[in-house]
Amino acid sequence: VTPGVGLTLLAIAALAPAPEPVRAGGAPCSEVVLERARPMMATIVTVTARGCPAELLEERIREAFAEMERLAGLLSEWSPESAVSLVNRNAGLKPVRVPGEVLELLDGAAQVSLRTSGSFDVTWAALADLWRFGGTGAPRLPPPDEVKRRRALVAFRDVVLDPPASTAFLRRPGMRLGLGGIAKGYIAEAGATLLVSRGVRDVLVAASGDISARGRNGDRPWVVAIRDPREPSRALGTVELHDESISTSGDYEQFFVIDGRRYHHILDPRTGYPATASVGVTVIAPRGADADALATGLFVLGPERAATVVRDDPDVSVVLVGRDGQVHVAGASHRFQLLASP
Amino acid sequence: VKLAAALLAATLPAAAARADQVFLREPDAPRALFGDGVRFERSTLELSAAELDDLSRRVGRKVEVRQVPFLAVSSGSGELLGWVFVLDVVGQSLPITFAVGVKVDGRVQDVQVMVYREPHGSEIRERRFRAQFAGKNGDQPLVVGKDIDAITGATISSHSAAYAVRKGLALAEILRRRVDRKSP
Repeated sequence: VTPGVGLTLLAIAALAPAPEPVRAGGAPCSEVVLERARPMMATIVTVTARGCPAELLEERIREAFAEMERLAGLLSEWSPESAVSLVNRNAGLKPVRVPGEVLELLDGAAQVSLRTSGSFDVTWAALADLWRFGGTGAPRLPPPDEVKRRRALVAFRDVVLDPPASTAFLRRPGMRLGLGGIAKGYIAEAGATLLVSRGVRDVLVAASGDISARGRNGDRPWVVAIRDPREPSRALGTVELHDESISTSGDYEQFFVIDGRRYHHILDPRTGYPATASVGVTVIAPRGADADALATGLFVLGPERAATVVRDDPDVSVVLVGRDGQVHVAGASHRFQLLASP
Repeated sequence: VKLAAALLAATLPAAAARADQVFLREPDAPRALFGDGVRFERSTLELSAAELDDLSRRVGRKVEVRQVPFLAVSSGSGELLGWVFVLDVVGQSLPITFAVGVKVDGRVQDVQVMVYREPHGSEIRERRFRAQFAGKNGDQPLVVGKDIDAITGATISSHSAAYAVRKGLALAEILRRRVDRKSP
């Protein structure tokens, strides 16, 4: 290959909307693995990608981060200018025009809410400011009356989506969207999808525990270890990912302790208090948003009801550790390589 | 130059005790943050007592280290584009090393993670960790000896990035003031 040919290919790849794949035909180059990480969505997002040449792969990874940052900007409830914040500010007032991605995500969220009998609910955020996790202030318990009042504002059925008009509306004042239980899974998959659309076949995108895989890692599939929620320095087991996503909800990273009792950040939308049935749930699903939202919803439901929800779904695999420390598997459970329970 | 390099080596976090996850090495940071084709020079910013006070006030934490290594990044033609600061920030758990890129106009160019330290012990990526599988599932060659590409677990919250950005911006401001003072 002459340098001239290589340069031309690079130029084409940089300019065309859907460029030739990294590792494009005709220009053999030796494959590299790049791993890059950025702070995003209050956590660390990591992209691992295989391909060549390295400079082009680096550029593609930058583009994937830019796309994920764009989506995080739309979906953040903390940034006052985001589409989601706009919907929140207009709760009970009027429908708000939102980008297609926001509608898509809210529609997916509603499906998971229906499936989990409201155990996953994006309107949980009406309760959010009552509970302070990971903040700097002293931990406190919210007044029970206030929890009761806010709980009445948690109602996914009162999220009104109008796809033809491209609007979203929260029917009652005081309602609030919080996409923390679904956005990271959605965004990790979007990052992976963007890379594939630009010719990078082998990709793993991890937004902390929400991971989306495409292609393979060389001569084997991508392999993900599942942290043991009972002993987080150890693994519960491993699983191979084939063009799909995996997410975990656990109660051991964000919590506070009052009078010896631990209050963690995954609230049961129906009670307004931290869910108590599980300590950790991992879900594999074809779509990142589904994996993320189901992990939250099944965590709240607990082992028995979770098993019922995914019983006949060949596309979803679940590992759930109950409050008693017992490990349960459900759905296409044969896929997990679990270690013997200690 | 040697002195600057030595200072840098001394100030940088003991990068990569073996199990740390290293995403970006210092020589690759300018390109990763500012794009291909850039050049860079290592240098050290010596803060005066007044500048140290100013910095502490701006970032909201007492800063005591007076010597700050940085990389001055320029285009292929030699025009100064901005600076990269390598900052080790202690958050709720273990320190994370960030590369904060600031443009000459004082705005953030980009932030990336250089070294991430697993809060639960890095054994999850280690041979020792994999031995768990060998010991208990010796009859399942599918798992034994395989590498692990990622770990899924409860979301780890990192608010230290905001601090890294604040500090990077404040340091760039000090550099910008010095440049202003030098120009006619």
